[in-house]
Amino acid sequence: MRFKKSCKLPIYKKTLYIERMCNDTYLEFLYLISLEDDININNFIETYLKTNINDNEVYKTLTSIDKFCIMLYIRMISLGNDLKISTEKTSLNYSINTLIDNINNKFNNTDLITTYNTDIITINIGLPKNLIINDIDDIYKSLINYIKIEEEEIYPFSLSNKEFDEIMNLIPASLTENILNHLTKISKFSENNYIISPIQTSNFTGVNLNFLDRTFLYFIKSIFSDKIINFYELQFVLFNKLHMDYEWFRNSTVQECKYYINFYNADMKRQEEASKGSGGSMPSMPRMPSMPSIRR
Amino acid sequence: MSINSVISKLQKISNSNSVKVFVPSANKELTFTQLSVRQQKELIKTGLDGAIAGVTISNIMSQIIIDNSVDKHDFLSTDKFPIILSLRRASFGSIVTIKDNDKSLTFDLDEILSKPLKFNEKFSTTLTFKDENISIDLSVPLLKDDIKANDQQLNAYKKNKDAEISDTVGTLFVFEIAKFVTKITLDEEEVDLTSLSFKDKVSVIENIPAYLNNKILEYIQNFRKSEVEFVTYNGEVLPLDARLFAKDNE
Repeated sequence: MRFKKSCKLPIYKKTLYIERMCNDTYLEFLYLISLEDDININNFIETYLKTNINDNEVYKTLTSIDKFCIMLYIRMISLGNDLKISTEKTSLNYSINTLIDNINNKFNNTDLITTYNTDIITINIGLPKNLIINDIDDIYKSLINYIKIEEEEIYPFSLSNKEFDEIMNLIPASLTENILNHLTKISKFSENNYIISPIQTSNFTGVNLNFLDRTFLYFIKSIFSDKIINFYELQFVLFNKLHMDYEWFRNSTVQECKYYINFYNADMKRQEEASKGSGGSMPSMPRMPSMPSIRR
Repeated sequence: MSINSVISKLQKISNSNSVKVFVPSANKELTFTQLSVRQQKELIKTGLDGAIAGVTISNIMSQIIIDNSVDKHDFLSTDKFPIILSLRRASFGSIVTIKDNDKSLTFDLDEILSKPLKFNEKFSTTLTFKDENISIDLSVPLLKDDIKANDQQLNAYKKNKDAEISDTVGTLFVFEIAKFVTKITLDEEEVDLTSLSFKDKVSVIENIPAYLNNKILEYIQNFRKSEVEFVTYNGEVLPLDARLFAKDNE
């Protein structure tokens, strides 16, 4: 049985359990991030989350902010809770756990999920489901949770693009004013809320909670990003100094590997101090590879 | 939930959700289904088309008229504005507010649609040049032919994006004339251009003497002027672009 972490999410109100990201998956993710291919990175995240959650019906209902928070949780339990942001003037330290709590609090009393209807057709609109919005087609399909006609409900996320287009060709445009009003509401919410608030004294403009561009994806890339060489350096230290095997390594997380290196370093230090007392010499301690951070 | 069952229900709703619109070329009211979400989305998307937005939105509006018409009819270009404005009015109301640079412009579509159309239903004429023994018949194109001509324009634009501006303008000039010329009579010999492909039509037009083209241009300019006058309200011309179908800009 694998360790699972419970997640509290802003929109999906039931508790969700997720597994940590092991090193073999993390290396794959690192390579994609290094190639700067946003579409493939997005596809990777969607596939990874779908597998991790292992419940397709639940997955289909998750909004982009839920997925974003899940990735924050995964970052927290796999790479560590600390987040460093470097600006021109200074370096800022954050706790990812605190960022998640702050985001959840922003959605306690919002009206970002709502229903509009004519006499016969009801449309329930919420927050986008996609982490990246490419064009107007994405917006409509992503925003609409369900459409109800005479007690029959259909869910756009379960339709193909062709089927969705066919349905949209029969829904009266008079309902779209509500969709466009809702978009304006989301835009205003994004302007006024932050993932990380600005700090004027540090010349830091903050990171807005923006649903309608690629902010979520870029932030995820930043908090998982690292030089691939550092990852290989981690392996070198574990295999050569700590004599760990590859099977153990691929099923562990970066955070677990660093714990072992810390224990090893502490142990070496104790032995070195003990040997100073007795006049002997000790092998050198392995250098700790760096943690991913954000440079602004 | 069956998608076919839902589509069938929506089709019944759409058919019953129709609107009557006065069509100038038919000289009576015809029935149209209302604008759909997908159609509005396609209209709004043209706002991103840059230099060719005018042509793409014209084609989308023309296609909407043909697709949404419940009654069978050969629509003319003169029908386009009255019908599309009526459909806009039926879906989003009569008042249109558009931000243009720094000013906010308001239009009342009821007022615009109540104006008499200053061109007759076919706006057709014959230009006769006795000295050359040539006559040229001109008429407002059918909407479906206007779409084909615009598609050719778009293809030409895409192929020649890097061409000199003068070449592009020249091509568009010939295409525009080709839309309106229906027949050329030269020394008793008639050439019916409506039976030719658009490409062949353009080849014929390119061989018309330049001084005759000026007279054709005069006709086209009068027609376009009538269109502009129709959509002018309180001295301002209603922009017929994506903004007409988006949320009112404030």
